[in-house]
Amino acid sequence: MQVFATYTRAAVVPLVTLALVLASWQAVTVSGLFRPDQFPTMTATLQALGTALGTEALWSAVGATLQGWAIGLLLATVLAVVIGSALAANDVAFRSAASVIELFKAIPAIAILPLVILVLGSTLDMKVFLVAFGAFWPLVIQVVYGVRSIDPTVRDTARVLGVGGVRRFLTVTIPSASPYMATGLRIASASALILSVVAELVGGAEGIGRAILFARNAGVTSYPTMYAYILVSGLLGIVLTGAFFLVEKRAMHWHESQRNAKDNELGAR
Amino acid sequence: MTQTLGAHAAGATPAGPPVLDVAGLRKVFNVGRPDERMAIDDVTFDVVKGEFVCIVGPSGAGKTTLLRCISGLSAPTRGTVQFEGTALTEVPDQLGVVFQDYGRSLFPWFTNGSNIALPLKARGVGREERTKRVNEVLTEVGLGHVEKQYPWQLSGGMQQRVAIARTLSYKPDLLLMDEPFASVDAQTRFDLEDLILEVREEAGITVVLVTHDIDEAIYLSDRIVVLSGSPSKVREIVTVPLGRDRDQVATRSSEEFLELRRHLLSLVMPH
Ligand SMILES: Nc1ncnc2c1ncn2[C@@H]1O[C@H](COP(=O)(O)OP(=O)(O)OP(=O)(O)O)[C@@H](O)[C@H]1O
Ligand SMILES: [Mg+2]
Repeated sequence: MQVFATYTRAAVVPLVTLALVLASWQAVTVSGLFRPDQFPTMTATLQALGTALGTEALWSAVGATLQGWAIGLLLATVLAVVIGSALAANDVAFRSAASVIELFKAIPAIAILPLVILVLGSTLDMKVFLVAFGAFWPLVIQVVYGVRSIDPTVRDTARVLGVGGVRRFLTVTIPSASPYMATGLRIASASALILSVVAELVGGAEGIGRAILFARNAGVTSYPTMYAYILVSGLLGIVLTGAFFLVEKRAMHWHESQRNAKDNELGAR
Repeated sequence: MTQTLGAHAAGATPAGPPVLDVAGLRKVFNVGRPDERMAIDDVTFDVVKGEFVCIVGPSGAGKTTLLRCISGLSAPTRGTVQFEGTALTEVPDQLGVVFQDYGRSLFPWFTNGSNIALPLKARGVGREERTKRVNEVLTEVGLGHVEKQYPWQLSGGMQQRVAIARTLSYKPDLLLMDEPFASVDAQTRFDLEDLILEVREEAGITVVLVTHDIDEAIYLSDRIVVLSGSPSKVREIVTVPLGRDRDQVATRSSEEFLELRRHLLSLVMPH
Protein backbone atom coordinates (compact mmCIF):
# COMPACT_ATOMS: atom_id res chain seq x y z
CA MET A 1 0.00 0.00 0.00
CA GLN A 2 2.78 2.32 1.00
CA VAL A 3 4.72 1.34 -2.07
CA PHE A 4 1.71 2.17 -4.20
CA ALA A 5 1.48 5.56 -2.51
CA THR A 6 5.17 6.22 -3.22
CA TYR A 7 4.77 5.36 -6.87
CA THR A 8 1.64 7.45 -7.21
CA ARG A 9 3.32 10.42 -5.63
CA ALA A 10 6.34 9.96 -7.92
CA ALA A 11 4.06 10.03 -10.95
CA VAL A 12 1.64 12.72 -9.81
CA VAL A 13 4.02 15.42 -8.57
CA PRO A 14 5.75 16.06 -11.94
CA LEU A 15 2.36 16.06 -13.70
CA VAL A 16 1.00 18.67 -11.30
CA THR A 17 4.10 20.80 -11.85
CA LEU A 18 3.73 20.49 -15.61
CA ALA A 19 0.07 21.49 -15.42
CA LEU A 20 0.97 24.52 -13.30
CA VAL A 21 3.65 25.64 -15.75
CA LEU A 22 1.27 25.28 -18.70
CA ALA A 23 -1.47 27.15 -16.85
CA SER A 24 0.81 30.08 -15.99
CA TRP A 25 2.02 30.16 -19.57
CA GLN A 26 -1.59 30.50 -20.68
CA ALA A 27 -2.25 33.12 -17.99
CA VAL A 28 0.67 35.43 -18.87
CA THR A 29 -0.11 35.30 -22.60
CA VAL A 30 -3.89 35.67 -22.43
CA SER A 31 -3.67 38.49 -19.86
CA GLY A 32 -1.58 40.49 -22.33
CA LEU A 33 1.59 40.55 -20.23
CA PHE A 34 3.29 39.24 -23.36
CA ARG A 35 2.15 40.11 -26.86
CA PRO A 36 1.47 37.18 -29.24
CA ASP A 37 4.44 38.25 -31.43
CA GLN A 38 6.68 37.77 -28.40
CA PHE A 39 5.15 34.71 -26.88
CA PRO A 40 2.15 32.83 -28.31
CA THR A 41 -0.43 31.30 -26.02
CA MET A 42 -0.01 27.79 -24.69
CA THR A 43 -3.14 26.57 -26.44
CA ALA A 44 -2.08 28.01 -29.80
CA THR A 45 1.34 26.44 -29.43
CA LEU A 46 0.03 23.04 -28.47
CA GLN A 47 -2.41 23.23 -31.34
CA ALA A 48 0.42 24.06 -33.71
CA LEU A 49 2.39 21.16 -32.22
CA GLY A 50 -0.55 18.82 -32.85
CA THR A 51 -0.77 19.98 -36.44
CA ALA A 52 3.00 19.78 -36.94
CA LEU A 53 3.13 16.23 -35.56
CA GLY A 54 0.82 15.24 -38.41
CA THR A 55 2.98 16.78 -41.12
CA GLU A 56 5.75 15.05 -42.99
CA ALA A 57 7.86 18.20 -42.80
CA LEU A 58 8.30 17.81 -39.07
CA TRP A 59 9.31 14.17 -39.20
CA SER A 60 11.79 14.68 -42.00
CA ALA A 61 13.28 17.57 -40.00
CA VAL A 62 13.54 15.32 -36.95
CA GLY A 63 15.08 12.62 -39.14
CA ALA A 64 17.65 15.03 -40.55
CA THR A 65 18.64 16.26 -37.09
CA LEU A 66 18.95 12.70 -35.81
CA GLN A 67 20.99 11.75 -38.84
CA GLY A 68 23.57 14.45 -38.14
CA TRP A 69 23.57 13.50 -34.46
CA ALA A 70 24.04 9.80 -35.15
CA ILE A 71 26.68 9.95 -37.89
CA GLY A 72 28.68 12.62 -36.08
CA LEU A 73 28.55 10.75 -32.79
CA LEU A 74 29.47 7.45 -34.40
CA LEU A 75 32.40 9.01 -36.21
CA ALA A 76 33.62 10.71 -33.03
CA THR A 77 33.26 7.48 -31.05
CA VAL A 78 35.22 5.34 -33.49
CA LEU A 79 38.00 7.92 -33.74
CA ALA A 80 38.07 8.51 -29.99
CA VAL A 81 38.27 4.79 -29.19
CA VAL A 82 41.07 4.16 -31.68
CA ILE A 83 43.11 7.29 -30.92
CA GLY A 84 42.37 7.27 -27.19
CA SER A 85 43.43 3.64 -26.78
CA ALA A 86 46.63 4.24 -28.72
CA LEU A 87 47.46 7.28 -26.58
CA ALA A 88 46.66 5.43 -23.36
CA ALA A 89 49.02 2.61 -24.26
CA ASN A 90 52.02 4.90 -24.41
CA ASP A 91 53.09 7.16 -21.55
CA VAL A 92 55.10 9.60 -23.66
CA ALA A 93 52.36 9.91 -26.27
CA PHE A 94 49.79 10.45 -23.55
CA ARG A 95 51.72 13.22 -21.84
CA SER A 96 52.52 15.03 -25.06
CA ALA A 97 48.96 14.81 -26.33
CA ALA A 98 47.21 15.68 -23.06
CA SER A 99 47.75 19.43 -23.25
CA VAL A 100 46.80 19.59 -26.94
CA ILE A 101 43.57 17.73 -26.22
CA GLU A 102 42.75 20.00 -23.28
CA LEU A 103 43.30 23.00 -25.55
CA PHE A 104 41.03 21.71 -28.31
CA LYS A 105 38.44 20.65 -25.77
CA ALA A 106 38.37 24.22 -24.48
CA ILE A 107 37.45 25.59 -27.93
CA PRO A 108 33.66 25.84 -28.11
CA ALA A 109 32.75 23.85 -31.21
CA ILE A 110 30.46 26.69 -32.31
CA ALA A 111 33.52 28.93 -32.70
CA ILE A 112 34.65 26.92 -35.72
CA LEU A 113 31.19 26.98 -37.31
CA PRO A 114 31.90 29.90 -39.69
CA LEU A 115 35.00 28.14 -40.91
CA VAL A 116 33.20 24.83 -41.40
CA ILE A 117 30.35 26.51 -43.29
CA LEU A 118 32.88 28.27 -45.49
CA VAL A 119 34.59 24.99 -46.38
CA LEU A 120 31.68 22.56 -46.52
CA GLY A 121 28.62 24.76 -47.11
CA SER A 122 25.13 24.16 -45.72
CA THR A 123 25.39 20.42 -46.05
CA LEU A 124 25.04 17.26 -44.02
CA ASP A 125 28.84 16.98 -44.12
CA MET A 126 29.08 20.34 -42.40
CA LYS A 127 26.70 19.25 -39.68
CA VAL A 128 28.45 15.90 -39.20
CA PHE A 129 31.83 17.55 -38.97
CA LEU A 130 30.66 20.03 -36.37
CA VAL A 131 28.97 17.32 -34.29
CA ALA A 132 31.98 15.00 -34.54
CA PHE A 133 34.38 17.80 -33.62
CA GLY A 134 32.38 18.75 -30.55
CA ALA A 135 31.86 15.16 -29.41
CA PHE A 136 35.38 13.91 -30.07
CA TRP A 137 37.33 15.82 -27.40
CA PRO A 138 35.34 14.91 -24.31
CA LEU A 139 35.09 11.34 -25.62
CA VAL A 140 38.77 10.86 -26.31
CA ILE A 141 39.65 12.07 -22.82
CA GLN A 142 37.25 9.58 -21.26
CA VAL A 143 38.65 6.77 -23.43
CA VAL A 144 42.23 7.60 -22.37
CA TYR A 145 41.33 7.71 -18.68
CA GLY A 146 39.19 4.60 -19.01
CA VAL A 147 41.92 2.56 -20.66
CA ARG A 148 44.53 3.81 -18.21
CA SER A 149 42.36 2.94 -15.24
CA ILE A 150 42.37 -0.77 -16.03
CA ASP A 151 42.96 -2.82 -12.92
CA PRO A 152 46.50 -4.31 -13.07
CA THR A 153 45.06 -7.64 -11.92
CA VAL A 154 42.73 -7.62 -14.91
CA ARG A 155 45.61 -6.84 -17.27
CA ASP A 156 47.80 -9.58 -15.75
CA THR A 157 44.93 -12.06 -15.91
CA ALA A 158 44.46 -11.42 -19.63
CA ARG A 159 48.17 -11.96 -20.24
CA VAL A 160 48.28 -15.12 -18.17
CA LEU A 161 45.27 -16.57 -19.96
CA GLY A 162 47.01 -15.96 -23.28
CA VAL A 163 44.40 -13.44 -24.40
CA GLY A 164 46.18 -10.94 -26.61
CA GLY A 165 45.88 -8.61 -29.57
CA VAL A 166 42.47 -7.65 -30.90
CA ARG A 167 40.74 -10.19 -28.67
CA ARG A 168 42.25 -8.59 -25.56
CA PHE A 169 41.23 -5.16 -26.79
CA LEU A 170 37.62 -6.19 -27.38
CA THR A 171 37.05 -8.55 -24.45
CA VAL A 172 39.14 -6.91 -21.74
CA THR A 173 40.24 -3.36 -22.54
CA ILE A 174 36.92 -2.01 -23.84
CA PRO A 175 34.72 -3.53 -21.11
CA SER A 176 37.18 -2.32 -18.45
CA ALA A 177 37.10 1.19 -19.83
CA SER A 178 33.37 1.19 -20.54
CA PRO A 179 32.21 2.99 -17.37
CA TYR A 180 34.36 5.97 -18.39
CA MET A 181 33.26 5.67 -22.00
CA ALA A 182 29.59 5.64 -20.98
CA THR A 183 30.08 8.92 -19.13
CA GLY A 184 31.86 10.36 -22.15
CA LEU A 185 29.11 9.23 -24.47
CA ARG A 186 26.40 10.71 -22.27
CA ILE A 187 28.13 14.11 -22.37
CA ALA A 188 28.92 13.79 -26.08
CA SER A 189 25.38 12.76 -26.98
CA ALA A 190 23.88 15.84 -25.32
CA SER A 191 26.32 18.24 -26.96
CA ALA A 192 25.94 16.45 -30.30
CA LEU A 193 22.22 17.26 -30.34
CA ILE A 194 22.89 20.90 -29.51
CA LEU A 195 25.52 21.15 -32.22
CA SER A 196 23.28 19.43 -34.72
CA VAL A 197 20.53 21.99 -34.12
CA VAL A 198 23.03 24.87 -34.20
CA ALA A 199 24.43 23.66 -37.52
CA GLU A 200 20.87 23.82 -38.90
CA LEU A 201 19.87 27.08 -37.27
CA VAL A 202 23.05 28.99 -38.08
CA GLY A 203 24.57 26.87 -40.82
CA GLY A 204 21.35 26.24 -42.74
CA ALA A 205 21.59 22.47 -42.95
CA GLU A 206 18.31 20.58 -43.08
CA GLY A 207 16.69 19.71 -39.76
CA ILE A 208 14.74 21.02 -36.77
CA GLY A 209 17.00 24.02 -36.36
CA ARG A 210 16.29 25.20 -39.89
CA ALA A 211 12.58 24.53 -39.41
CA ILE A 212 12.62 26.85 -36.39
CA LEU A 213 14.33 29.52 -38.46
CA PHE A 214 11.88 29.17 -41.38
CA ALA A 215 8.88 29.40 -39.04
CA ARG A 216 10.27 32.59 -37.55
CA ASN A 217 10.86 34.11 -40.97
CA ALA A 218 7.29 33.24 -42.00
CA GLY A 219 5.95 35.96 -39.69
CA VAL A 220 3.83 36.34 -36.57
CA THR A 221 1.17 33.84 -37.61
CA SER A 222 3.80 31.09 -37.70
CA TYR A 223 5.13 31.84 -34.22
CA PRO A 224 3.13 29.08 -32.56
CA THR A 225 4.68 26.68 -35.09
CA MET A 226 8.15 27.98 -34.24
CA TYR A 227 7.47 27.34 -30.57
CA ALA A 228 6.14 23.91 -31.43
CA TYR A 229 9.42 23.08 -33.19
CA ILE A 230 11.38 24.36 -30.20
CA LEU A 231 9.33 22.05 -28.00
CA VAL A 232 10.06 19.18 -30.38
CA SER A 233 13.81 19.77 -30.11
CA GLY A 234 13.45 19.65 -26.32
CA LEU A 235 11.42 16.47 -26.48
CA LEU A 236 14.05 14.97 -28.76
CA GLY A 237 16.68 15.68 -26.11
CA ILE A 238 14.55 13.97 -23.47
CA VAL A 239 13.94 10.94 -25.69
CA LEU A 240 17.64 10.58 -26.50
CA THR A 241 18.63 10.91 -22.84
CA GLY A 242 16.03 8.30 -21.89
CA ALA A 243 17.11 5.93 -24.64
CA PHE A 244 20.72 6.35 -23.58
CA PHE A 245 19.80 5.59 -19.99
CA LEU A 246 18.06 2.34 -21.01
CA VAL A 247 20.90 1.22 -23.28
CA GLU A 248 23.46 1.95 -20.58
CA LYS A 249 21.42 0.06 -18.01
CA ARG A 250 21.38 -2.99 -20.26
CA ALA A 251 24.96 -2.86 -21.49
CA MET A 252 26.45 -2.10 -18.07
CA HIS A 253 24.23 -4.42 -16.06
CA TRP A 254 27.34 -6.19 -14.74
CA HIS A 255 28.86 -3.01 -13.32
CA GLU A 256 28.68 -2.28 -9.60
CA SER A 257 26.72 0.94 -10.06
CA GLN A 258 23.95 -0.87 -11.96
CA ARG A 259 24.09 -3.89 -9.64
CA ASN A 260 23.57 -1.61 -6.63
CA ALA A 261 20.74 0.18 -8.36
CA LYS A 262 19.01 -3.15 -8.90
CA ASP A 263 19.59 -4.20 -5.26
CA ASN A 264 18.04 -0.99 -4.04
CA GLU A 265 15.02 -1.50 -6.27
CA LEU A 266 14.53 -4.97 -4.84
CA GLY A 267 15.18 -3.71 -1.34
CA ALA A 268 12.49 -1.07 -1.69
CA ARG A 269 9.87 -3.67 -2.48
CA MET B 1 66.00 -33.56 10.19
CA THR B 2 63.67 -33.18 7.25
CA GLN B 3 65.83 -30.70 5.40
CA THR B 4 67.40 -32.21 2.32
CA LEU B 5 68.39 -29.37 0.06
CA GLY B 6 67.85 -30.12 -3.61
CA ALA B 7 66.47 -33.60 -3.01
CA HIS B 8 63.20 -34.42 -4.67
CA ALA B 9 59.95 -35.60 -3.21
CA ALA B 10 59.31 -39.22 -2.60
CA GLY B 11 56.86 -40.42 -5.21
CA ALA B 12 57.72 -37.82 -7.84
CA THR B 13 60.13 -39.24 -10.35
CA PRO B 14 62.62 -36.66 -11.59
CA ALA B 15 62.63 -37.41 -15.31
CA GLY B 16 64.07 -34.97 -17.82
CA PRO B 17 64.53 -31.30 -17.08
CA PRO B 18 62.60 -29.81 -14.17
CA VAL B 19 59.31 -28.14 -15.05
CA LEU B 20 60.53 -25.02 -13.34
CA ASP B 21 64.09 -23.97 -12.63
CA VAL B 22 64.75 -20.75 -10.73
CA ALA B 23 68.40 -19.83 -10.35
CA GLY B 24 69.89 -16.88 -8.47
CA LEU B 25 66.77 -14.77 -8.94
CA ARG B 26 66.89 -11.19 -7.72
CA LYS B 27 64.29 -8.50 -8.20
CA VAL B 28 64.92 -4.83 -7.57
CA PHE B 29 62.15 -2.29 -8.16
CA ASN B 30 62.81 1.24 -9.43
CA VAL B 31 66.47 0.57 -10.17
CA GLY B 32 68.59 3.72 -10.01
CA ARG B 33 65.83 5.85 -8.52
CA PRO B 34 65.71 7.22 -4.99
CA ASP B 35 62.89 4.81 -4.14
CA GLU B 36 64.93 1.81 -5.30
CA ARG B 37 63.85 -1.27 -3.40
CA MET B 38 65.09 -4.83 -3.42
CA ALA B 39 62.16 -7.21 -3.00
CA ILE B 40 64.01 -10.47 -3.68
CA ASP B 41 67.70 -10.91 -3.01
CA ASP B 42 68.64 -14.42 -4.09
CA VAL B 43 66.24 -17.29 -4.69
CA THR B 44 67.13 -20.67 -6.18
CA PHE B 45 64.93 -23.75 -6.38
CA ASP B 46 63.46 -26.14 -8.90
CA VAL B 47 60.23 -28.06 -9.29
CA VAL B 48 59.95 -31.44 -10.99
CA LYS B 49 56.99 -32.83 -12.89
CA GLY B 50 54.06 -33.80 -10.70
CA GLU B 51 55.47 -32.14 -7.63
CA PHE B 52 53.57 -29.88 -5.22
CA VAL B 53 55.81 -27.13 -3.90
CA CYS B 54 54.72 -24.43 -1.45
CA ILE B 55 56.53 -21.16 -0.94
CA VAL B 56 56.13 -19.70 2.54
CA GLY B 57 57.38 -16.42 3.87
CA PRO B 58 56.25 -13.53 6.02
CA SER B 59 54.03 -10.78 4.62
CA GLY B 60 56.01 -8.47 2.36
CA ALA B 61 58.74 -11.08 1.82
CA GLY B 62 58.28 -10.78 -1.92
CA LYS B 63 56.19 -13.90 -2.56
CA THR B 64 53.85 -12.25 -5.06
CA THR B 65 56.86 -10.63 -6.73
CA LEU B 66 58.53 -14.04 -6.98
CA LEU B 67 55.42 -15.59 -8.51
CA ARG B 68 55.21 -12.78 -11.07
CA CYS B 69 58.81 -13.43 -12.08
CA ILE B 70 58.20 -17.17 -12.31
CA SER B 71 55.13 -16.68 -14.48
CA GLY B 72 56.84 -14.36 -16.93
CA LEU B 73 54.72 -11.35 -15.98
CA SER B 74 57.74 -9.51 -14.63
CA ALA B 75 61.40 -9.76 -15.61
CA PRO B 76 63.96 -10.59 -12.90
CA THR B 77 66.77 -8.09 -12.31
CA ARG B 78 69.29 -10.92 -12.12
CA GLY B 79 69.24 -14.69 -12.40
CA THR B 80 67.18 -16.94 -14.63
CA VAL B 81 63.81 -18.67 -14.73
CA GLN B 82 63.38 -21.66 -17.00
CA PHE B 83 60.04 -23.26 -17.78
CA GLU B 84 60.27 -26.75 -19.29
CA GLY B 85 63.86 -26.10 -20.29
CA THR B 86 63.45 -22.71 -21.98
CA ALA B 87 64.06 -19.26 -20.54
CA LEU B 88 60.95 -17.17 -20.00
CA THR B 89 60.21 -14.19 -22.18
CA GLU B 90 56.42 -14.11 -22.10
CA VAL B 91 53.83 -16.02 -20.09
CA PRO B 92 54.03 -19.56 -21.53
CA ASP B 93 50.87 -21.09 -22.99
CA GLN B 94 51.15 -24.12 -20.75
CA LEU B 95 51.29 -22.11 -17.53
CA GLY B 96 48.29 -21.35 -15.34
CA VAL B 97 48.15 -18.68 -12.65
CA VAL B 98 45.50 -18.18 -9.96
CA PHE B 99 45.84 -14.75 -8.41
CA GLN B 100 45.64 -13.72 -4.78
CA ASP B 101 42.68 -11.48 -5.55
CA TYR B 102 40.25 -13.71 -7.41
CA GLY B 103 37.43 -11.18 -6.97
CA ARG B 104 39.22 -8.83 -9.34
CA SER B 105 40.68 -11.52 -11.54
CA LEU B 106 37.34 -12.84 -12.80
CA PHE B 107 35.88 -10.53 -15.45
CA PRO B 108 32.55 -9.21 -14.14
CA TRP B 109 31.24 -8.44 -17.63
CA PHE B 110 31.40 -12.13 -18.59
CA THR B 111 29.33 -14.99 -17.23
CA ASN B 112 31.23 -17.74 -15.43
CA GLY B 113 30.96 -19.83 -18.59
CA SER B 114 32.47 -17.10 -20.78
CA ASN B 115 35.20 -16.48 -18.21
CA ILE B 116 36.19 -20.14 -18.35
CA ALA B 117 35.89 -20.33 -22.13
CA LEU B 118 38.04 -17.23 -22.76
CA PRO B 119 41.48 -18.92 -22.62
CA LEU B 120 40.09 -21.72 -24.79
CA LYS B 121 38.88 -19.19 -27.35
CA ALA B 122 42.31 -17.59 -27.34
CA ARG B 123 43.76 -21.02 -28.11
CA GLY B 124 41.43 -21.53 -31.06
CA VAL B 125 39.25 -24.24 -29.49
CA GLY B 126 35.93 -24.62 -31.34
CA ARG B 127 32.57 -23.69 -29.82
CA GLU B 128 31.30 -27.22 -29.23
CA GLU B 129 34.54 -28.34 -27.65
CA ARG B 130 34.54 -25.22 -25.46
CA THR B 131 31.06 -25.87 -24.10
CA LYS B 132 32.03 -29.43 -23.33
CA ARG B 133 35.23 -28.42 -21.59
CA VAL B 134 33.47 -25.71 -19.53
CA ASN B 135 31.05 -28.31 -18.17
CA GLU B 136 33.89 -30.72 -17.50
CA VAL B 137 35.99 -28.31 -15.43
CA LEU B 138 32.98 -26.97 -13.56
CA THR B 139 32.27 -30.55 -12.44
CA GLU B 140 35.95 -31.03 -11.69
CA VAL B 141 35.97 -28.12 -9.24
CA GLY B 142 32.72 -29.25 -7.69
CA LEU B 143 30.43 -26.56 -9.07
CA GLY B 144 27.11 -27.33 -10.70
CA HIS B 145 25.66 -25.34 -13.55
CA VAL B 146 26.81 -21.82 -12.81
CA GLU B 147 28.01 -21.08 -16.34
CA LYS B 148 25.07 -18.74 -17.06
CA GLN B 149 25.51 -16.80 -13.85
CA TYR B 150 27.96 -13.97 -13.28
CA PRO B 151 30.96 -14.25 -10.93
CA TRP B 152 29.58 -11.56 -8.63
CA GLN B 153 26.46 -13.62 -8.06
CA LEU B 154 28.53 -16.32 -6.36
CA SER B 155 30.07 -16.60 -2.89
CA GLY B 156 33.80 -16.01 -2.43
CA GLY B 157 34.58 -19.72 -2.25
CA MET B 158 32.60 -20.41 -5.42
CA GLN B 159 34.32 -17.52 -7.21
CA GLN B 160 37.68 -19.03 -6.33
CA ARG B 161 36.50 -22.35 -7.78
CA VAL B 162 35.52 -20.59 -11.01
CA ALA B 163 38.95 -18.94 -11.15
CA ILE B 164 40.57 -22.35 -10.67
CA ALA B 165 38.29 -23.89 -13.30
CA ARG B 166 39.25 -21.18 -15.77
CA THR B 167 42.91 -21.99 -15.25
CA LEU B 168 42.37 -25.75 -15.49
CA SER B 169 40.28 -25.42 -18.66
CA TYR B 170 43.31 -25.34 -20.93
CA LYS B 171 45.16 -28.08 -19.01
CA PRO B 172 48.33 -26.23 -18.04
CA ASP B 173 51.46 -28.22 -17.15
CA LEU B 174 52.24 -25.96 -14.22
CA LEU B 175 49.76 -24.27 -11.93
CA LEU B 176 50.93 -21.24 -9.93
CA MET B 177 48.74 -20.03 -7.10
CA ASP B 178 49.20 -16.92 -4.98
CA GLU B 179 47.62 -17.33 -1.53
CA PRO B 180 44.54 -18.74 -3.23
CA PHE B 181 42.65 -19.55 -0.04
CA ALA B 182 43.60 -16.54 2.07
CA SER B 183 40.21 -14.87 2.02
CA VAL B 184 37.74 -17.71 2.45
CA ASP B 185 36.43 -19.22 5.68
CA ALA B 186 38.14 -22.21 7.34
CA GLN B 187 35.69 -24.86 6.10
CA THR B 188 35.85 -23.63 2.48
CA ARG B 189 39.59 -23.45 2.81
CA PHE B 190 39.84 -27.13 3.77
CA ASP B 191 37.54 -28.07 0.90
CA LEU B 192 39.57 -26.08 -1.61
CA GLU B 193 42.84 -27.54 -0.34
CA ASP B 194 41.50 -31.04 -0.89
CA LEU B 195 40.14 -29.98 -4.27
CA ILE B 196 43.58 -28.87 -5.40
CA LEU B 197 45.16 -32.11 -4.16
CA GLU B 198 42.54 -34.08 -6.11
CA VAL B 199 43.00 -32.04 -9.26
CA ARG B 200 46.73 -32.48 -9.05
CA GLU B 201 46.31 -36.24 -8.61
CA GLU B 202 43.88 -36.60 -11.51
CA ALA B 203 45.38 -34.17 -14.01
CA GLY B 204 48.99 -35.01 -13.11
CA ILE B 205 49.57 -31.29 -12.86
CA THR B 206 52.57 -29.66 -11.17
CA VAL B 207 51.69 -27.05 -8.57
CA VAL B 208 53.56 -24.16 -6.97
CA LEU B 209 51.51 -22.46 -4.28
CA VAL B 210 52.37 -19.38 -2.26
CA THR B 211 51.04 -19.13 1.27
CA HIS B 212 51.88 -17.58 4.59
CA ASP B 213 50.12 -20.42 6.43
CA ILE B 214 52.63 -23.02 7.56
CA ASP B 215 49.99 -25.68 8.28
CA GLU B 216 48.55 -25.30 4.83
CA ALA B 217 52.01 -25.58 3.30
CA ILE B 218 52.76 -28.83 5.15
CA TYR B 219 49.36 -30.30 4.39
CA LEU B 220 49.68 -29.67 0.65
CA SER B 221 53.36 -29.95 -0.22
CA ASP B 222 55.95 -32.41 -1.25
CA ARG B 223 58.52 -29.70 -0.56
CA ILE B 224 58.39 -26.28 1.06
CA VAL B 225 60.60 -23.37 0.06
CA VAL B 226 60.98 -21.20 3.17
CA LEU B 227 61.80 -17.58 2.43
CA SER B 228 63.41 -15.13 4.81
CA GLY B 229 61.94 -11.68 5.38
CA SER B 230 62.42 -8.90 2.84
CA PRO B 231 64.56 -8.87 0.73
CA SER B 232 64.03 -12.57 0.57
CA LYS B 233 66.51 -15.38 0.32
CA VAL B 234 65.80 -19.08 0.56
CA ARG B 235 66.16 -19.94 4.21
CA GLU B 236 65.67 -23.65 3.69
CA ILE B 237 63.94 -26.14 1.41
CA VAL B 238 62.05 -28.63 3.56
CA THR B 239 60.95 -32.03 2.26
CA VAL B 240 57.56 -33.20 3.47
CA PRO B 241 57.57 -37.01 3.61
CA LEU B 242 53.85 -37.44 4.26
CA GLY B 243 53.04 -39.48 1.16
CA ARG B 244 50.27 -38.79 -1.35
CA ASP B 245 47.23 -39.66 0.74
CA ARG B 246 46.36 -36.77 2.97
CA ASP B 247 43.43 -36.24 5.25
CA GLN B 248 42.52 -32.99 6.96
CA VAL B 249 42.06 -34.63 10.36
CA ALA B 250 44.51 -37.53 10.34
CA THR B 251 47.37 -35.79 8.54
CA ARG B 252 47.18 -32.60 10.51
CA SER B 253 47.28 -34.45 13.84
CA SER B 254 50.02 -36.92 12.91
CA GLU B 255 53.33 -36.92 14.75
CA GLU B 256 55.31 -36.14 11.56
CA PHE B 257 53.06 -33.18 10.79
CA LEU B 258 53.61 -31.69 14.22
CA GLU B 259 57.34 -32.30 13.97
CA LEU B 260 57.49 -30.50 10.61
CA ARG B 261 55.38 -27.71 12.02
CA ARG B 262 57.75 -27.23 14.93
CA HIS B 263 60.70 -27.09 12.55
CA LEU B 264 59.07 -24.62 10.17
CA LEU B 265 57.95 -22.38 12.99
CA SER B 266 61.50 -22.22 14.29
CA LEU B 267 62.56 -21.19 10.77
CA VAL B 268 60.07 -18.38 10.31
CA MET B 269 60.02 -17.02 13.85
CA PRO B 270 62.26 -13.97 14.15
CA HIS B 271 65.51 -14.79 15.86
N1 LIG C 1 55.64 -2.61 -8.48
C1 LIG C 1 56.34 -2.42 -7.35
N2 LIG C 1 57.12 -1.31 -7.21
C2 LIG C 1 57.82 -1.11 -6.09
N3 LIG C 1 57.85 -1.94 -5.04
C3 LIG C 1 57.12 -3.06 -5.11
C4 LIG C 1 56.32 -3.35 -6.26
N4 LIG C 1 55.69 -4.53 -6.04
C5 LIG C 1 56.07 -4.94 -4.82
N5 LIG C 1 56.93 -4.07 -4.25
C6 LIG C 1 57.57 -4.21 -2.94
O1 LIG C 1 58.17 -5.47 -2.85
C7 LIG C 1 57.96 -6.03 -1.57
C8 LIG C 1 57.38 -7.42 -1.70
O2 LIG C 1 56.04 -7.32 -2.12
P1 LIG C 1 55.16 -8.63 -2.42
O3 LIG C 1 53.82 -8.16 -2.81
O4 LIG C 1 55.89 -9.49 -3.37
O5 LIG C 1 55.11 -9.31 -0.98
P2 LIG C 1 54.30 -10.61 -0.52
O6 LIG C 1 55.26 -11.51 0.10
O7 LIG C 1 53.48 -11.14 -1.64
O8 LIG C 1 53.34 -10.00 0.60
P3 LIG C 1 51.90 -10.51 1.07
O9 LIG C 1 52.13 -11.74 1.91
O10 LIG C 1 51.41 -9.38 1.92
O11 LIG C 1 51.08 -10.76 -0.13
C9 LIG C 1 57.06 -5.09 -0.81
O12 LIG C 1 57.84 -4.37 0.12
C10 LIG C 1 56.51 -4.16 -1.85
O13 LIG C 1 56.40 -2.86 -1.33
MG1 LIG D 1 51.38 -11.36 -1.99
